[in-house]
Amino acid sequence: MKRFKEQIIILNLIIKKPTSLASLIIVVCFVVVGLTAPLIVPYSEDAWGLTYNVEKRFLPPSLEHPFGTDALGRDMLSRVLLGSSFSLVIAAGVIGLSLIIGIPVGVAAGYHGGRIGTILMRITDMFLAFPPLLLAIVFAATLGRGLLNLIIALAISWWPWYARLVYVQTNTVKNMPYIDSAKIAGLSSFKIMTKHVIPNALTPTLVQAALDTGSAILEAAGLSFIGVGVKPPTPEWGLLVSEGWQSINYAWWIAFFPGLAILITVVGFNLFSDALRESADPRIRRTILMRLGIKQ
Amino acid sequence: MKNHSILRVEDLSIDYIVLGGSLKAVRNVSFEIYEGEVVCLVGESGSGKSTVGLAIAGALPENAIIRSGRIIFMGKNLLEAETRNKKVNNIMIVFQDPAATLNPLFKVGEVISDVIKTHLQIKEREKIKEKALEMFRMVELPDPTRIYNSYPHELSGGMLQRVVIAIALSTNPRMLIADEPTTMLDVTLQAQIIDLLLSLKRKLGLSMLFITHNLGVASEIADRIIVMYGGELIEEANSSELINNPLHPYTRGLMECIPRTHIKYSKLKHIPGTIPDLANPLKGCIFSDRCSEVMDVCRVVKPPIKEYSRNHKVACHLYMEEKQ
Amino acid sequence: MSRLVEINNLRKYFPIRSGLFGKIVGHVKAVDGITFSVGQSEVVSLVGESGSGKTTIAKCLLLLERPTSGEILFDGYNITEARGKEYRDYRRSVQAVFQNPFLSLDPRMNVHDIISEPVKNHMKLSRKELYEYVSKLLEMVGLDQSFLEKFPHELSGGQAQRVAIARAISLNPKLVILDEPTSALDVSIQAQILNLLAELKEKMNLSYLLITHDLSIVRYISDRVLVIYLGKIMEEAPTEKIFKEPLHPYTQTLLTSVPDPFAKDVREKVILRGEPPSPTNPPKACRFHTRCPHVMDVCREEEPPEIQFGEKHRTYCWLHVKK
Repeated sequence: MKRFKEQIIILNLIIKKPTSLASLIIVVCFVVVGLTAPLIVPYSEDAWGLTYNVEKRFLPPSLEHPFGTDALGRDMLSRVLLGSSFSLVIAAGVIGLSLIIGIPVGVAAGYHGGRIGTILMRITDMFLAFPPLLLAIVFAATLGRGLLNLIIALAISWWPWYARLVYVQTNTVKNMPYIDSAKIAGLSSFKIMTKHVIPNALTPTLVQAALDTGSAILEAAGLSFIGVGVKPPTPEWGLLVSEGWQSINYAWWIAFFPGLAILITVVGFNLFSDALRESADPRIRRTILMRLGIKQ
Repeated sequence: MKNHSILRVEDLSIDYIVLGGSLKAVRNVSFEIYEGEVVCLVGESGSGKSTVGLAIAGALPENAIIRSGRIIFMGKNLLEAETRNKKVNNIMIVFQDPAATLNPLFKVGEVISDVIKTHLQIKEREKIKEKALEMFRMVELPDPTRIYNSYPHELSGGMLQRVVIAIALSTNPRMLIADEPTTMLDVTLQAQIIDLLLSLKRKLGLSMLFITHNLGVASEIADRIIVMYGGELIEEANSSELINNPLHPYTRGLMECIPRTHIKYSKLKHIPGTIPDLANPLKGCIFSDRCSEVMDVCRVVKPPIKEYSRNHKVACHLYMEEKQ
Repeated sequence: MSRLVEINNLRKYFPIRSGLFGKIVGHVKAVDGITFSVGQSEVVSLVGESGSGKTTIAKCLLLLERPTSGEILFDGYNITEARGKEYRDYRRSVQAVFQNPFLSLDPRMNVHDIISEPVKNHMKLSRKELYEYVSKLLEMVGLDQSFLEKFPHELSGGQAQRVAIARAISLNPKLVILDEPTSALDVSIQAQILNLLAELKEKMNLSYLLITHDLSIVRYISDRVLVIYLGKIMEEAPTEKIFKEPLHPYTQTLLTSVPDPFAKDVREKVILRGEPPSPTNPPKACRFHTRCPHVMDVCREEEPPEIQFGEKHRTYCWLHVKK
């Protein structure tokens, strides 16, 4: 328990501030729903888009279909719920893939420096020179529609940010006196890198990566919305909005609910990342404590 | 000395709110500084010496709470709301790291000009610059015009500390608080800065509160030394009296810890244990858990600070009994 | 006393690069021709202010920097070229304690892992043996087993420095380099650490190379002192001699600059004017001439020769040439 004292205190701080608490609840709900949606959706076949039901087209929200039905008579609640699973998979895929590319590049460039380091970082800079969304659109369009292609396209625009972050962190850690201590202890370069440099350099990057979930969901939805993301009938939120867009005048609910889902999730993640940053930074933490008037 | 008191601190207590509780950083501290006098607050880390300095300068961090006390400067309580909101340019503070106090994006000349303009209400540019150069000359900076046009990173640590002192003095303050101003400097530069502060004191009749962890530095600059430990004031005396006749076991211990340059000896004395826990300060004497002469009464009753002899006060049960 | 480490004419220049292609535009001459030795179970102090090159010398000795020229002899071989067994032997024999324990200990490791890391790397011990060995080391530095599971941020400065010392002595080294080991500590804690170091030296027959700017701790612990300024030796002498008969004006200034509450009346203070020059462009001839209170014409023109004063006392100063 002692090891997690700091974490427990941070959690305590988050719970005490209403917006932070709300964001925490949203994030937890999103993850739980995302993991269980395939099992809990009321109309499983509708959710996966395997059905076509003419009688049920464009039904407004009702008890039977709380989010209404779409142009093909599918239950929107089921589709939006399952959409969270796709968002979760996409976000995890994009961030995971970006880390897999970004970490080795950043560590290699940061720890070894020299010519290889310079070349690696110049390549990273080239990617960073393009607006990320534009880069993702170009690659998504080139690769064609599909879940995996969407993840790859987003990761291509995403990894340089992590590479840069890891590079800076590695560079800082590399020059810490405890690295000198490790050299004096006689550890090999490899051991120093794996035991000291990487663990110390990665923590901030991994925290950042977890907090980027919101942005990943938003960008994926953006690409699907403009038609270079996943293929229909995948219940991806961006695609759902795009499908509902055409009938917005007479069936507002089709675009509205997936849009709302995107909004809540992204705002939730962003607020949560702010809350975490506030609570973890000792300087800002003080002011929160003050504002809350915590006196013991 | 028949001087007037310029600053009186009465029963000052300050807490810091931190993760999971509060630190009672300063507890019931009272002392006085007379006009033209240099008083040194001496203590180790966690003694509360810097907190006292910051409280007087009105520069406490946001998580500090003043629990009790008054700080009376030239007849006004600085802690009262109306005085607090007014800019007090009669007290200036100089910190340990001059590079951190100066904005790296501005030339030091611009910084001092700004201070002169706002505090002294001088409008003409030439007059401001003239005053700035005069201040630089006063702190014995070589080539003031070049310094005026330099950025902080172009100057060395010793020069920057002089610049910061010049800026502080440019508002014609009545009192200067110096918080470890020589700690980051090499010994030869430290000697220069101490020399400078002493000559400024003579020239300007400046009162000074000098905060340091180094008893050696304190003995060189102070008229009077106040020793703090664990947030409390434990001994106060004239500089030479305190050095030659320390009373409190902590002060004595501290004195014996200092390796000396002019005699050789085989084993250093040290004070066992670690600095006190400020979240739950001891009930009795704050030093009782490390004191080698501890008595039963020390663990239960906090000794008040009492006059032991003329100009020498101490907070210790050892000396209470002697007098009774 | 046999010699343990010999440093011959050590130089370390750091290139100053500038521009797009990193063209070398000059050198910081951090260490510029330094010769000295450390004997078996001897404590030698390197005293100097910032920019004197004292830390660079330590880094060269610890193989953290490669010297530009000169040699460092240990056990008869040049350590900058040591490979294989010789290299491992040297690594084992020379350890270090740095100024700030909170920076020199990995914040993610607990005390047990910190101390056992060098041991695991050099010796084959079972887990139980290792645990006992580490506990014994902790005891030697005055800490008990309850510290094994703690992380550096849970320790006080003095406790953390004790852990760093335990790690440094874990391999039974011959030489420990102490780089400002007490500058970050409070006075009362500084005395504890100095006493501990003195005690360990006796117990383990250690040699120390103490690097410090603080002359007051030098007298307590060291046998011999080297005073350096801008990468060059100014004076070398047995500790007592440095304090009693300092010959070089720089040594004299350093001695009187240390604020000592008990020496106030004993000595006359020499206050230097001006700032130390930059090691990028050090003064020609005698390096100290720009600040020296006794400067003469010859000091600006020619480098002073080495002058011996009795046994083991040497200085580089024109003042003493005439005699």
